Amino acid sequence: MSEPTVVVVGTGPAGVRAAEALVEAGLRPILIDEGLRDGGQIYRRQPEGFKRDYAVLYGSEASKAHGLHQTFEALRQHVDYRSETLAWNITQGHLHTVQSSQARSDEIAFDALIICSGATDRLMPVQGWNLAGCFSLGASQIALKAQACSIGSRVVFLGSGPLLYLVASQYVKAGAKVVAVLDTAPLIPPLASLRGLLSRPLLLWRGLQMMVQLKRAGVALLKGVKPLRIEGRPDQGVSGIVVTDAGGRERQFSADALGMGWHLRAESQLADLAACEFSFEPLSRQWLPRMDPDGRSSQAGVYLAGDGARILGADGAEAAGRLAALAAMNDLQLPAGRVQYQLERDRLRQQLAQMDQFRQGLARAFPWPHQQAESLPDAAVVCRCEAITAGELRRCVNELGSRELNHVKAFSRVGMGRCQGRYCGHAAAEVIAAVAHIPVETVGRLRGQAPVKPMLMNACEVSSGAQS
Amino acid sequence: MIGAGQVQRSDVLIIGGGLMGATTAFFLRHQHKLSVTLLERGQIGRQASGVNFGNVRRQGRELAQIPLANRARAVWGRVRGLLGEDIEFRPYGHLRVCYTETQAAILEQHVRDVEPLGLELQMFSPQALRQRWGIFSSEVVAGSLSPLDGHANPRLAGPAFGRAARRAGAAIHEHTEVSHVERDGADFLAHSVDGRRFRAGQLLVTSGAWSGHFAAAFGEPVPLDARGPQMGVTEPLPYAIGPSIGVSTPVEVEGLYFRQIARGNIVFGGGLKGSAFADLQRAYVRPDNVLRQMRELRRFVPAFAQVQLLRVWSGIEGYTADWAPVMGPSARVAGLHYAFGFNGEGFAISPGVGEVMAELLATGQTSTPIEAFSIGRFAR
Amino acid sequence: MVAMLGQGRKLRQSEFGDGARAGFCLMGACQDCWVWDETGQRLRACTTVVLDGMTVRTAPPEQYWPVTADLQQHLAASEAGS
Repeated sequence: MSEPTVVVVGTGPAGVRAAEALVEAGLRPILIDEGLRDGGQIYRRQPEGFKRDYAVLYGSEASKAHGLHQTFEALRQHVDYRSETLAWNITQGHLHTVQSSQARSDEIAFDALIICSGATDRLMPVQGWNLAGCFSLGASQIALKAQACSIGSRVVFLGSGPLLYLVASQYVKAGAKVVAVLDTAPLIPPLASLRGLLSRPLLLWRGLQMMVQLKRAGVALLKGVKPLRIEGRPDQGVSGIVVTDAGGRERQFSADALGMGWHLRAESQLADLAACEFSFEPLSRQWLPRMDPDGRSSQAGVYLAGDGARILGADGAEAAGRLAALAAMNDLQLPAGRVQYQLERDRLRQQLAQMDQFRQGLARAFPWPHQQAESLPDAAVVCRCEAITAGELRRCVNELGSRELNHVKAFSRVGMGRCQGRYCGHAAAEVIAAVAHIPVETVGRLRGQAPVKPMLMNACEVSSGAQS
Repeated sequence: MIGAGQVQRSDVLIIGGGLMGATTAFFLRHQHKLSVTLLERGQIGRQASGVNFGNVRRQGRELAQIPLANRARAVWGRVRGLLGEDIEFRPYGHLRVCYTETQAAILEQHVRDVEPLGLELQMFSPQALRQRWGIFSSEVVAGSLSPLDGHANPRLAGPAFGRAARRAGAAIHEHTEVSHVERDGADFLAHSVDGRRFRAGQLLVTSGAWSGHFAAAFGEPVPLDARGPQMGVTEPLPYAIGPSIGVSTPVEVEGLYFRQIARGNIVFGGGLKGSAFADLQRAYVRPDNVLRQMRELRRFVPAFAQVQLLRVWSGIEGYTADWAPVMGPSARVAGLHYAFGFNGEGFAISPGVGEVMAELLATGQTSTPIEAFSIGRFAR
Repeated sequence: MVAMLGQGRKLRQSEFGDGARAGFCLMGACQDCWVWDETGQRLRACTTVVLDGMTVRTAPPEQYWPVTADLQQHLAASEAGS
């Protein structure tokens, strides 16, 4: 029997650990990476030739990042690594990729596909967030890590979740001026979140430490915040932000840059195009692909791992990547993979279950501020790409009788822009649910449409010799 | 709300809420004041009516359709006033270009053929094309412009006609799937899946690719093939191009067309079709078709090489064996009428179809020739 | 992208009238940072490495989808008519 073709999409922690398990069992997987270099986002590598210290770049996670990068380097010659390659579509048993710089397309027949597509920041719009100078928390971190730059000279961070405090403290450490950290999470976390948070005590401890350090550095730390508007001018960009604090008082902060984000949003587009089933998770109020504890999706041969399926963070992604690869090899009846799967499955599952406990604690302690959608002024832009306002969405509900997200999209153009709904989809659903007085789950989710990302139309057809 | 026990009665019952049904419902109220009920199993205008290319063209049609298309064009010209909203009809022309002298001769013949039917076209040499549009590659050898044709927005058109019909007094029922229709005396009685019943003296079937079921139930089956148009849209570009533009060719894979909307995106379609499954209500865009479309678009407009594709979609269109629609009264059952099977080119003529069918239902005749589309032709 | 923003606060103008944009996510997801080179080639600024001799434009070059004489006439006629 010839060797099965296993394809891994993504080379962050999940993708690299999946590839490692596959190579250990004697396979030569194909690794598809949209980026210039391996590493994904959280362990994004500096450009080739740069020599900044791992401790400077990754802080407390330096050894993990280093370990991951070293692993990839060791795997390099044992895998078919394709960088700057976008997996743009998927049909039964075939992954369709394009490398725009070469105008080259490929159609890869696979026996197993492991999707490790990661996540983006999750955004709740604030009036004025479309002004130049607003960035995601992730962007704020990437600017610092990858390019040693701050997003501005007076920075405010807004949002909720551990990343908010992590990025702010990284900025302070690097010497940037952080004016304020504005957390929309309630002042006192609900009791129900503590059990989850205590499942990873070290992380919880680190988080608390960061808050203390920020306070000591003179950064204004507010919780229970309601953002009102981001100030600035369309031709000049951001100049500040106005919020109400937990006591209901209006507070204004001047800034020339704003980093904002509410934890993460799974990049599940490829799983969607693969016709994987999705279900709505009430805790995080998002639609996620269905999977079993090992990462099997509802589609035979398609496995999911990492933040692209369940937001468990980098450590969770490493475990999930390995487990999904072992499950895939088990299902393909490969003897070496089978053995490893039997040996490691329970341990890895247990690890992931513990991380999921923590995830749930985070979701409760730093909730997605869905109520903000209801109080968004009509003039606030929800869809940045197409400049569609909250008022326009409400009009579709009130005047045209729309109750479902794709229907609203057809009338308002929300989600029709270049980002394909990544940054507006969740908020749009909340705006619709609030004005229609229906559960957000019934509003549905944006239907997946290829290509997974904008695709340059210079692509040539798959050459007949290139099929693998 | 109609309870399970009651039966709602109207003069005309329409099954299928795409553009054909919605325009007919509108004109029945607007022009003839007949009572009308429209039953749509999903939402108005979401099937083929809502996913097609949006061409409003008379050029290039079979000659038998030109009178109907002219009638439609007259409605398009006043559609904004009729509906009270903008469905983005832009009469900026329809341009066909071609790659061979043989095809250029066919274009020229068409110019001559349609002139007596009231359609005036203009031929363009490559130099004239370059001067007026400048976007075409050197492979293009000729073009034919229909200056008063154009394009509109299919996503908006069906729902807009549906709302206008409702405002005019039509009873529009969405999420109402018809399980079967029976004759009850002189009337038709439709049963919905959720137990409601609707009665009317006349029945119109405008169920698109699904019309075959109803036609067969009344003893006049029509073989319908479901095919999926392969559609795509680009990122917004500087607004540059007015007409809808297509390649005229006998080679299917070459037959691409595109139009630019005022916001700048370019919608395109054409080439080989994809698979569509009417029973499953599923249609797919084949990835290899997308790559072929990109190649063919670059072939006649090289600037596409620097443009990004944002999304693709398909839908379910009904095709007849002889490429002509099914339109007009039943050949077997008095009071029964049909308008379906428009072979992927129904959008342009839909307002005309609606006006004609309304006229037929209300008066028993129509001034626009539609005998060529009779369902009776399939009985032979 | 960072290199461009080091020189000024904007990368491009939003197509739909809400002003200057400077990118958002820095990771190739939001698609807010697309710029052009002088040949009209598209560059996603946040995932494009700066190279010696590169020219980058914050607005499309003239030859990138220039308005056709035909459309200019139609638009002028519409304006005149309204």
